[in-house]
Amino acid sequence: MPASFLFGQFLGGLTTAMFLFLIASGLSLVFGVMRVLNFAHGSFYMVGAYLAWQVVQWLAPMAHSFWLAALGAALGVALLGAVVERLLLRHLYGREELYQLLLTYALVLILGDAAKAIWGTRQLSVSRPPILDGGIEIMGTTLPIYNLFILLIGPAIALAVWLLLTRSAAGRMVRAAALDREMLGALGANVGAIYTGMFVASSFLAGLSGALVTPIQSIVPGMDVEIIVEAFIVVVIGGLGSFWGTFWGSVIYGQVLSFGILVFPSFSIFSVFALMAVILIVRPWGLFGRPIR
Amino acid sequence: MLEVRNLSKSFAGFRAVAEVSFAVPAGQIAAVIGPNGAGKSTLFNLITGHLQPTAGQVFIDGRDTTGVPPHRICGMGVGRSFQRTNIFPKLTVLENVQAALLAHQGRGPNFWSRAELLCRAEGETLLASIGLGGQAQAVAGTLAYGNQKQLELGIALASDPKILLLDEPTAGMSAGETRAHPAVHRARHGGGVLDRPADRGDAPGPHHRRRESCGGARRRRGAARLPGRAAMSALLELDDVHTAYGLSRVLFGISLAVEEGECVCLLGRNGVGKTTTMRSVMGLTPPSAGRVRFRARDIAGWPPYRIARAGIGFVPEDRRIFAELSVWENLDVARHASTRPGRWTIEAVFELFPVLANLRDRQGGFLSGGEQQMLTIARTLMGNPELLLLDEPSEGLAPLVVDALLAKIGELKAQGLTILLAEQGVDFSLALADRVYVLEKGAVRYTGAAAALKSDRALLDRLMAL
Amino acid sequence: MMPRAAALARRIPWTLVAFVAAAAIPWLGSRYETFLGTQIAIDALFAVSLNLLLGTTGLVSFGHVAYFGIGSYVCGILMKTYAVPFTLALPAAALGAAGFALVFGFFCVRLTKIYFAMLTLAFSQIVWAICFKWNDVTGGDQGLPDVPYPDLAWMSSIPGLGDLRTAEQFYLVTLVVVTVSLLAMRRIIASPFGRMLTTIRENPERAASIGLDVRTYELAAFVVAGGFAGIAGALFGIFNRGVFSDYVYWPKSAEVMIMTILGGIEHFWGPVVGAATLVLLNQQITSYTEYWPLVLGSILLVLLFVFPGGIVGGLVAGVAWLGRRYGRRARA
Repeated sequence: MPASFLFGQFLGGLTTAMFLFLIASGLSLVFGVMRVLNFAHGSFYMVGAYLAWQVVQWLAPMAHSFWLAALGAALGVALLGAVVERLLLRHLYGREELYQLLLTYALVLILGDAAKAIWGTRQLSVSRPPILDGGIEIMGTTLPIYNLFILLIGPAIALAVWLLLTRSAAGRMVRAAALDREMLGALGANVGAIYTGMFVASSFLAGLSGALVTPIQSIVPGMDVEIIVEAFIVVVIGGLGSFWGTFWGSVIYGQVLSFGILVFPSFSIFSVFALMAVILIVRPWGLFGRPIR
Repeated sequence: MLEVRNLSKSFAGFRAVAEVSFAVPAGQIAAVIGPNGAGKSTLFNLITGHLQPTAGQVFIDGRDTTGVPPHRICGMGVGRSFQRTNIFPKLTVLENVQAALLAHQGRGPNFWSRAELLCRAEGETLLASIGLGGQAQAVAGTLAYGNQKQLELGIALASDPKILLLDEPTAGMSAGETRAHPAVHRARHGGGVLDRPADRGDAPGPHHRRRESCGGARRRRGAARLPGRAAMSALLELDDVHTAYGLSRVLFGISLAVEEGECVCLLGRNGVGKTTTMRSVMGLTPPSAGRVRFRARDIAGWPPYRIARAGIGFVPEDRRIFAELSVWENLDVARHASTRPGRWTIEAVFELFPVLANLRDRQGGFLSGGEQQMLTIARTLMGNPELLLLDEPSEGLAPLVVDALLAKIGELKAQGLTILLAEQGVDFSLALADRVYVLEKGAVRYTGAAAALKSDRALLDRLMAL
Repeated sequence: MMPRAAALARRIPWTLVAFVAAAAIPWLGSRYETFLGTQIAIDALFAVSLNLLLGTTGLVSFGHVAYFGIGSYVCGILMKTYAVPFTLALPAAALGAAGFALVFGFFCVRLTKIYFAMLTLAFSQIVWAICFKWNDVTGGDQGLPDVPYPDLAWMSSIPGLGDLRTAEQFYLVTLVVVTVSLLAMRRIIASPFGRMLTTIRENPERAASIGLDVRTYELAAFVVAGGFAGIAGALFGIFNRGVFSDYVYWPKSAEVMIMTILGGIEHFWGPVVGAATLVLLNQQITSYTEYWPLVLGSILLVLLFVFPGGIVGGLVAGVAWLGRRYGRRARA
């Protein structure tokens, strides 16, 4: 197997990893702070993709339509997240976790059908922004410039979020909320507002990644379910609630997917769940999570 | 019968139990005595298998049971009652006991018979023997506090244990009830009993009859008026407050008042409702009935953050500092959480607690007990409260540290901060308090000036034996 | 007036009445109603088996469809490929499903809450992936069409049953199997074993302290629930005239959970009501629109916010409220 091919697979794995990271990080943070595993996160990603396509249709001849569409989609999904959190999720916080999960599942059903109703079932796609068109040669393999962009923006966002969490006052509050939300409330913090903020931020990220994936992948019904399953696996590998865990979990999973297919053609569907099962059995808290036994 | 050798247990950062050794022969009653935080709970958990020891061994009836899981230890004839009532809340009282009997008789794997018919007579006999005969059909979670503790014991007794571990069985009970407590009777009937009262007065043995004769000083629930003062001026007022944790009722009509600038102390044993009263004021466990007024505004039902921003600060019993944040970060979070103006800034707090200033970058989880206590008080001060709710600040601290803490709180009081203090330690509270409320079983049994109690030791003894 | 009516109501053997009414459907109703009846009976059994975990033991499983699917495949393969009679294939399906539940459950009960749920989901998807891919045995993504009906010739010898179509005869067989299974489960839940499970749900720590090996009991519950789900699956394979991997995919686990909660997890017959409601709603709604998931999601939302106790929970609360009102009137 030529080195250039392997390198190409490696880069492909990293690109997948960065997308997954953008989505899974929101999922993991929300779980860490709010103890809610948001099934509908994948649906937010899908809505982001559809919204991006829609905005591009509206703005078509205009320059920079892609970037505006990406921003618009992210903001749109953030708004959706705010509505969901304030109107629906917030009322279930006192109840058992099962009910919160079922709520997010209900959203998966509703949003999935809503998207089908609005945009139909045919495949849609968005073309790459002109600046990022074309490819460059690295080590014998051609890397699309757009993918390079993704490879750079992933870690950039990771770094930015990490700095926010550790250096800013808001970030400290979020970390405190994850440790002891009741005490934080007794100190005077409106933990409900923190929750809304977290949920909106994670929805923004989900919408943004949905928008950014459109030049690479076509937009189809079912992409919500596909991505949420992968996001689950990533957070299990990395550890629920751990930020860097999600990052490294995505990287590992991306490579496993990339190279696994070469070794074992029917790799994806079986082995992915087997991997998840093995990790949950052997080390449920993943790489960086807090040991729960 | 029960032997413990060099038993130790460390949690990340601190040793809860260090090299404990003792032996309890069959037929004897032993008492484990110590203040809160001494490690009694942990010791019991180590014996019953709920925790794994870091070192040392446990022997039950001659067999090494170190590390054996709880259900197997029960099978060896060890019964245990818990300090916090640990029952099956949605089952009836009879069903609770039946379940324990069925489990003990190994009839769990029976898939066919009707459970409600089995062990019925035995269950009813057992309930009668512990005084719950008339309540067999009541749903366990709705029982009064004392009855829940009795049921707690009943479940432990159902396993017909050779060794009975009683974890603070009389917490919150009066002297009369303590003597009538079934455990004291059962203890005479063979088997070993390991008991952990929090103070000597509880250890089973002959008691003198103590009559409650507080006469006019005794306050009934409802009126919380203090002589010579209009109720309107009270900074904090509780009026017939009832609170429950789910189905478990804890407060049965608490009424009290705290004037501005005062230090009022809630006295009473473990489990009487001191912490619950504070949590009810703070909105963490909202009252199911009654009123809570702060500066004449009704705050019952407000979310905790609103109450904090209105000027009440809460310092919890278990400190609850943000372990993964540094000292400075803990304070900074509190500063941003409640934006009330006032004199307390991070620098001011470091002046009050110079020890903390040296530890500003240390992670909260690595502080000692005393340092954590200082941090949690400092953290709550960052919200510039007018009323400070202090829950058992001296718990688990060494005497020297307690003295230092006393001095600091005294300083705060001198600066005009109104304080509501909950304490088991009588000396600590009387040194600080202006007035005292003595709680028992979720209600106020006595209120009066602290000075009166300080001078009248006999009255104090009588009250604390309530 | 009311108390007398209530006492009378308690004496009527409702189960028997419901059974007789259900059994009369082939004569009273059309082929379509028999079809629905079979679907409802099978889903009711599936939902009640889940409730053994959810309502009785407090275990939230997202992967229960795995055992339903294993039951379908075992029975379908035995009957179609190996011409094994139904009377042997059905118990084999139950045992197969229970066996897998034993293996999977062994690992799952070591975890709690969200981790438990995720592992059940992972195992369920592994089962799906195997069914989807193993062309030789399971037919892969084509599945196993034309699973034969069991030999029902003996039914013609019973007076009145000879005129029925095969589907209707099979409906009666299904009804009997489901009823027997439900009664067995009811018995199990009322038994000491069931009581132990309830204590585990209420307070696992205390349950351990009275001598229960919590993990073993949870595993046993898992196996029993899996076995009954397998029976439901076996019946379904025949009813559906084929076994396909679609029916092992994870949204089916969500659907049966919704049925269970819709009916009410605190009452034994709750999931039965939930199954009936959902099947009937599905049939009604899908005749008007293809957006069944949208409707299902909305139903779920209403359920979560308005009727957390489910239909039966709501009815029981309503009756209790009525009893209090009329009790007061009678006394006044």
